Amino acid sequence: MFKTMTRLIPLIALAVSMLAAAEPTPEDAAKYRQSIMKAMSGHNGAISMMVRGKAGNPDNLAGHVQALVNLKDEIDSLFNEGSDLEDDRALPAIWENADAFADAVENFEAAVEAFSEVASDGGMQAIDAAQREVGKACKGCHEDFRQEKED
Amino acid sequence: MRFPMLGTATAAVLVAAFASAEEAEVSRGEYLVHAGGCIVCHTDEGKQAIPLAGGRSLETPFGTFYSPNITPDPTTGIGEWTDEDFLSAFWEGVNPDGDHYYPAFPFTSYTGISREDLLAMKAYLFRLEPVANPTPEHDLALYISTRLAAGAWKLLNFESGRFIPSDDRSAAWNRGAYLVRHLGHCGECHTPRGTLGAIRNGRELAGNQDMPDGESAPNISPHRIDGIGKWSVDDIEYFLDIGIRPDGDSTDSVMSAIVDSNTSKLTKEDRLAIATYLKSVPAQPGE
Repeated sequence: MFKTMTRLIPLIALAVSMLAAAEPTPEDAAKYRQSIMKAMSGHNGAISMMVRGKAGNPDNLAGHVQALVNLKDEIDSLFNEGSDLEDDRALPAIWENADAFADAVENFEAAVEAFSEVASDGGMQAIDAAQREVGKACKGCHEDFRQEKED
Repeated sequence: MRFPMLGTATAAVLVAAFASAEEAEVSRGEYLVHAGGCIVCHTDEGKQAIPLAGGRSLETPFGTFYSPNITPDPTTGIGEWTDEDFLSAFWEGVNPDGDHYYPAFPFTSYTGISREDLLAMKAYLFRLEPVANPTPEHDLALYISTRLAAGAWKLLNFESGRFIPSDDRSAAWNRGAYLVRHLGHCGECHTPRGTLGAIRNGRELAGNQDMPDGESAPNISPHRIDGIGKWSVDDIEYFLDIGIRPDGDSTDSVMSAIVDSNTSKLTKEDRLAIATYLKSVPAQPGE
C-alpha cells in the first residue's frame, strides 16, 4: 500500500504540473512574463550595441533579430488576467484599456517585423534607424501600461 | 519708368527676405520650445489636451499648481505680452503685472537663456492658434498663498543671470551646459532640493526622491554605481533619442514624455552635447 502510494506521487506531480502549464498561477504567469521581457530587453540591448558598432559580431545579428521576432509572438499570451500582482509592474490599465493596449502591442509587433526586414538586407544606417523604432515601440507600451521603476 | 519698377522689385525682395528671416526665427523658436521642455508641463494630461494650452496639475508639498495657458489667446493666454514681459518672466521670474512667480515655473534655470533664443520662442508661441482655455488658480498652503512669499523665496534662492560660456571648454560642452542647466532645466527634477525647495547646487544631478506627484528622478551624475557613470556619451545620446537604456530596457512615465516631446526632437549634435556635459559633472554618490 505504502509502495503504491509512493509510486503514485511522481504521477500526481506530473498531473499537477500539466495543469499548471494549462493555466499558470498568477504568480507564475507574472514570473514567466518578466522572463520574456528580460529576454527581449537583453536581445534589444545586444542589438543596439551591435548596430552602433560598439561591440559584438555583426554576423550574429540575425540570431538576435530572429529571437525578437519569436518572442514578440508570445506577447499576446503573457497577460493573464489577475497576474498584476502587487510587486509586478504590469498596470491594471492593460485590462481596463484593452483596446489601447492591443494597439500598442500591435505597433510593437509591426516595428519588429519592419526591423527584421531591414536587418536582413539593409545597410547599417538603415538598421540603426529601424532598431530605434523598435525601441520607441517598447516605450510606447511601457509609458501607459508599466509601473514606473523605483530608482 | 525704370526706377519705380526697380524700387518695387527691391521692396519685394526686401519683404521676401524679411519674411524668410521671420520664418527662420519661428522654426528656431519651435526647436527651442521643444528643447525647453515647455510642452510636458504646459499641456494637460489626456490624449485630447491641446498642446501648450495649460491646465496640467502639479501636486507638491506646498499645494497644487496648475500650469498656465501659453497660447497667444489675449485673455486666457499670453497674447498681450510684450517682448519685455516675456524676457522678465524667464530672466527675473516676474509676470507682466509685476508679481513673482513660484519656482514651479523653472525661472531659476531659465534665467540663463539668451535674449535671441527667448524671442525666437516667443515668435513661435505667437504663431500658435490662440486657445481660450482658462486654467484653475493655484491651490496652495496658506503660508505661501501670497506671491510675496514667492518674492521672499527668490531673495534667498535666486540670482538672475545669463549663461556665460567657458573659454577653456569645448563648444559641445558649452552647448550641453546651456541645454542641461538652463533651457532643458534637467536639474529642476534631477538635482535634490533642500529646505523650502531650494536646489542643492553642490549635489548637481544626484537625483531627487521627493518629486511632485510622488515621482522620483534618478541620479544622472557620472557615479558608476548610483548614477549613469557606466553609460558612454553614445549610450546617453541613444537614450535621449528613443528612451532605451543601455541594457535594452525602456524608460517610462515622465521621462518617456520628455523623450517624446523634447530630447527626441533635438539634433543628434545637441543630444551629444548634453551627453558631453553630463559626463563632465562631479560623480555624486547616493545619500
